[in-house]
Parts: sequence; C-alpha cells; structure tokens
Amino acid sequence: MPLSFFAELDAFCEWLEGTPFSQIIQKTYWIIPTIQIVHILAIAAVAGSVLMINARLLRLIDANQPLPSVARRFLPVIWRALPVLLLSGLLMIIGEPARSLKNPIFQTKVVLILLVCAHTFYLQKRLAGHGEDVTGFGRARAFATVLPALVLWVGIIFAGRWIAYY
Amino acid sequence: MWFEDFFQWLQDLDIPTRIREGESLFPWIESIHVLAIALVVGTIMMVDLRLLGLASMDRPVGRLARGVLVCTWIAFAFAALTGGLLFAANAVTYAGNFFFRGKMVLLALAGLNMGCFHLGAGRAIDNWGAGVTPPPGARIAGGLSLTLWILVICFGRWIGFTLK
Repeated sequence: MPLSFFAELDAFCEWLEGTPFSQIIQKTYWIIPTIQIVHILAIAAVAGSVLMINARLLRLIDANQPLPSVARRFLPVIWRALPVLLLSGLLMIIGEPARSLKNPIFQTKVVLILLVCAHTFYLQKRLAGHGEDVTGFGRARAFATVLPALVLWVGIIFAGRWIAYY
Repeated sequence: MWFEDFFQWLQDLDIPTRIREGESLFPWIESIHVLAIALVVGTIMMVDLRLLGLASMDRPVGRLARGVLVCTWIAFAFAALTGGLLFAANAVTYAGNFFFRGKMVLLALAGLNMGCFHLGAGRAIDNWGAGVTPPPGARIAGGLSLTLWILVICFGRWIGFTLK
C-alpha cells in the first residue's frame, strides 16, 4: 500500500481519538470492559451455532435431523449476532482507534470476517436449494465446506485475543 | 498463610514460569481459553433457552441436551485446562483478585445448579417432547444457568482490567 495511505490512517486515528465520543469511551473506566463483554457473549452465540451447523454437516450431531432444518435453526443466530458484533466492535474502534485500525492482527481479522461472511452466504444458498427430505452433503463435500469455516472462525477468535498483544 | 505459600510454589514451577516469562505462550493459551469458553457458553445457552421454552421448541429437550452437552463438556475440559495454566502462571495475583474469586464461586454455583437439576426436575427430561415447555423447576434451572454463565463471562473479562 502507498505510504500516503498510512499517513492518512495515522491522521484519521488521531482525529477519531480526539472526538468527544471517543473521549467519553476512553475516560469512563467501565465502558470498554462492558462492550467487550457484550462482544464475547455475541461471539459465544455465534461459536455455538457454527459448531452445531458444522457438526451436523459432518454428521457428528443430530444426524437424523434434515440439514436444512438445522441450518434454519442456527443460521439466523449468526446473522442476528453479526450487527451486535459490528456495533460493539465499532465502539471499541472509536474508543481505541490506533490500537485497532493500525494493528496488523486487527486488519487480518477484518479480512477473515469478510471471508467467513462470504462462506456463510454460500452455505445458506446451497442449503436453500435442498428440499426438506435431503439429509446432507456427501462426506467429501461436507468436509470441504466445514474445513474453511472452522479455520476462519478459529482464526477470527484467536485474532480477536491477539489484538491486545500487538 | 499456607495457601499463599502454595500459590507461590505453584507459579514458581517450571511450566507456569515459562508461560509467565515467555513471549507468546500466555496469549496462545488465552486464545484457546476464549474459544473454549465461547463454545461452553454458546452451547449451554441452547439447552438453557430450550428449558425456558424460548428456543428450539421443535426439538425434544432430552435429545437436544444429549447432543449439545457432549460439546459443552469437551469445550469445558479445554477451558478448565487452559484456565488452570493461566492461573498457575500468576497464581498469587489471580488468587487475590476479587473478580477471579467471584468467577470461581459462580462456576461452583453453575455446577451446583446443574447437579440439583439432574437429581430433581431433570429426571423427567424425556417427558418434554417437541413443542412442550418444561415445568417451572426446569425453567428456573435454565434461567439460573443462563444468568450464572453470563456472569462468569462478565467476571472473567473484568479480571483482565483489575489485576495489580
């Protein structure tokens, strides 16, 4: 990326840090921990749902349940948690712009999130094409679908923790 | 006092010392801890919400719980193991922290709640088929579990902000 991009990012972070809203988040001791708690609870809802869908794809759990009905139970949880995650994430960025936006781990996390959203859309589309009688993907296809999802979600959660160390 | 000596002895052991003084061991273990806790709470929430009659109503409670709770227990084993390692690395500090102590009490209460449920209202679990809202005793257990686990996450996050 061109140097001017980083200069502008620096300037943007500095401006954001100086806004009254950011100042309130920075100076009220309980705001950041509280936002992080909301963020983690939303991650828990997503992690549980992702586990259920992927375990079902691999037939490790609920193998007698039609795949589309498992997806109908858990995909909405993921999509509903997403705005909570984005909003709480945004508030953390406003409170600590340089710690996040300029952090290579954070930047990686954003890419992983975009990829996992695309993957979830793909999964949803595929399942929507199946009738209620279909019990699932073939073993190889299921594995090929599950593997990127698990790698991405684990990467996202690990990256979230590692932001604090960079 | 004896337990202070014990915590000092614990954190002076080889592995805790390496975790404390290493460059990246602590954050790696912490990452696994966060992932494991997210899975524990994310899966146990499903059972709690079903007990409360608020979600997965098209599934019988017993079958849902048996499938989901296997995942919960595996994730809990990882959370306890990584949590134990993180504690051992700074045992003296954590042992003196209000939120750490509170988190341990909350975990004990969550376990107690689960035990009471199994010995009490939970014995009728196979009677709660699809569409059935469990009786008040089970709903109370579900609500308590949900509350306690949310508090475990709250206290856990506050530990990081109150260490001295």
